[in-house]
Amino acid sequence: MSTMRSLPLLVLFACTTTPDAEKDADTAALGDSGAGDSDVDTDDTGVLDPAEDPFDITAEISDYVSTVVIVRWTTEAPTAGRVEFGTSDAYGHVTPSTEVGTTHEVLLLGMTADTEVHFRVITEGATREVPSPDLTITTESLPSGLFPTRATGTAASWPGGFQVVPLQGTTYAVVILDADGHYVWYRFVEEVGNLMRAFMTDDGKEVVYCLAGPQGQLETGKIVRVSMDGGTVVETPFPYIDHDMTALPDGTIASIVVETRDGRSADTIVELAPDGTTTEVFNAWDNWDPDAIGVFPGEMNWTHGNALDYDPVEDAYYLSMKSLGSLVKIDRGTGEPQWAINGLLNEFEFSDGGGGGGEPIAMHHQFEVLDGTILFFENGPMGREYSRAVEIEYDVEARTAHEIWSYISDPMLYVFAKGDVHRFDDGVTQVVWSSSGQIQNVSPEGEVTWQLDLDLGQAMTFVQVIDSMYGTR
Amino acid sequence: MVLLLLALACAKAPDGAAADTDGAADVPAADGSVPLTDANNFAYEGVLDAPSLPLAELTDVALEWSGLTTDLRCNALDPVADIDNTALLVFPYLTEEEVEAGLSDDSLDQADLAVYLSYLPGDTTRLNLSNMSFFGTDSEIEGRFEAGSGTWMVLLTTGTEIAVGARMMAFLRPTVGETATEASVTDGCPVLDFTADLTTLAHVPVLRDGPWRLDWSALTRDGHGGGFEPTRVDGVMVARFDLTVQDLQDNFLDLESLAAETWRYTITSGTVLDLGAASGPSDPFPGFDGEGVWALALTCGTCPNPAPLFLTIVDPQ
Repeated sequence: MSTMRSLPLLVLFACTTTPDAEKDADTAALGDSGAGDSDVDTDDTGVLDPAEDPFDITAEISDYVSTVVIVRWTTEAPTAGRVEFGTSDAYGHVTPSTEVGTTHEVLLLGMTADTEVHFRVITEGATREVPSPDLTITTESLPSGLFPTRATGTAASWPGGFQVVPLQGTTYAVVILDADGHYVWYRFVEEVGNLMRAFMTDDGKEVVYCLAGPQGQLETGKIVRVSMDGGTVVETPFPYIDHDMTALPDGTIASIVVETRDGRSADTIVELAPDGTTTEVFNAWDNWDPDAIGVFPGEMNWTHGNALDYDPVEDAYYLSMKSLGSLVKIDRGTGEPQWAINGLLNEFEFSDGGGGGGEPIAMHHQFEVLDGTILFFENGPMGREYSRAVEIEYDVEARTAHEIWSYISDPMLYVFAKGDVHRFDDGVTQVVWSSSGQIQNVSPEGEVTWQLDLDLGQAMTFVQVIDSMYGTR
Repeated sequence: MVLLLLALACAKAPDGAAADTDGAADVPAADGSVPLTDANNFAYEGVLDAPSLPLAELTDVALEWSGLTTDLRCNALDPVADIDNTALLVFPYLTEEEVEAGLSDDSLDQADLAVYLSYLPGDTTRLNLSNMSFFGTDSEIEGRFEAGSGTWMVLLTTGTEIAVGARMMAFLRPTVGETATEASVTDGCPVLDFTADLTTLAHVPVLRDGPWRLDWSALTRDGHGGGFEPTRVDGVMVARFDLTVQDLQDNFLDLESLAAETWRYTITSGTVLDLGAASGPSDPFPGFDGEGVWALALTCGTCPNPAPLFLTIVDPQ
């Protein structure tokens, strides 16, 4: 658990230069000054109810994440409350409201390091809202090892501009970057292993990442949950987890888990329920015979699952398997494959001549199933010298498919490990050139609208785009 | 940490520090503050000239380094004990000269690199490139090692971090008509040529007995000419030399081995260090109480270029 320190507001006031914050920190002064400065509807009569005024406001920087501010306050009467915050007294950010009570704590998330943060507490009383005056605190410096990124262009495609990025290479860390490429959250990963997937939970309370064991030691795999203040870390051993995991709406985490039989390995999907129980819902060994479907005899990892997604509407999984070159839809309830596209398991006729024979999509990694189309990150064979994002339109009933869009970077990039894609609502596609340490947002016409680059020696794996630092629900 | 930062934000300019217009002081501040500025920093320019080995294309290649007894900085090297990792890097759009220049000034992006493969050699000094992989991704060397396919470079490193800890490097040049399939990497000296300027920098005055609150927040340039990034700093080194500053400049690559005494401290974040209270891995700093030349460096243990980001000469008073 996090060890929190209490920073007296008086100290905060003493060092700030804004006129409002130079006022004394006692409760009455907060209420009075807040009424005059606020654009919040505080009181029609001009008389404030002390029972609903926030008092004993404290603010401190997390011991674990130097960009995270912890704000606490109390009220005499039970109220809800929230905090508006930002880099000026115009704020621009707001926390979710607290539960009704007399003691409150929120995190100010999404701020950059070494930044003066303006904030005010707003109690949400039964009849009106009461703001505190403008207060300030300065976030601390980033830790050594988080090297600068370089972002160019405009990240207009998603409102928050945040993304959860697992870093591999010189630095092993899960970080959240803003649209300017600044670090707003981080956790260093000290354990030896293969940092693959990280995501913020839907409720915005945690970042979860999976760490596959190093080669030959997959039994040491684990799933790690980290609270947003960085102080609470819960590790769940998850032997043989590999490449990817995905969250279900109820908090269940489904993962690709490798199972070895007679010296060869294939993939299963194992669910980790919120209560800690695990359930295998799919096993490749039960569905295909590697020799019968034409897997190269020397391929020891004959499925090589490398990307997993869940469709809550269909209650189905989508599993990408590199060795098979196929994407398979799997019914969650029965564990039965429903259809497979591309590669050795292909059931579709590609009108542009590809499909199982031509393999138009080679060695794909992450994908996104859209409305009638599938977006792939296609690594391609090494000799081809380039990777690409490719979208195919498909008809499950007719079992037909054809390519409708693709994007190749200029100059061409070949991604020899990982790779990810995401389609924004405005049609822009995010392409994560993982091993090249580059992310691009690309318009349908192929124009790069935003790009982020990392130093030599630093790569990323799979990326989660998030609109808010406070989750989606 | 919060309180410290707040306190710094409130602090007045240090009394007694006679700063010049460049921010470099002539006498130490009475309160022990030691501001480090660009005027105090050394200037360094390294030039790499790695061997380029023509080899048969479209075939597997053996790499052998049993004769490698000096590294690219001309330090002695044990080809078994000192080589922890072998790495193969392919830069598809850069020439050998551009790769050398980019490594010298830390200007390469990861996107410049198309392939990174590695192999942990253990006690061997020989491997086939086809043995290299990256988290299970094979090299497919026979099909890719082709003339015109970019610049291929092998790194022999101490430690296993990507592009860090290079002891020797060589370019493997797939060449039409060439028949050699073995790349023998031998003497690393002098792959790295350099110029370093330690004689024209402004010395940093410090109190001989402390306190010493080092503050490098004002730095804007590193010693290699690039922008100074505080998060690259992960160490502070203080060293005493029984040599002249000119000697240090002339033997810059051997500074660590030439030091009479060395103290190292870990930086986890920020731009301030109370040297008297600094921790690990060295013992507590005892003070500038010995004769000779004193140097102070800010180091980056995870940067491709091992030269310090900041290095200055200290004048204890």
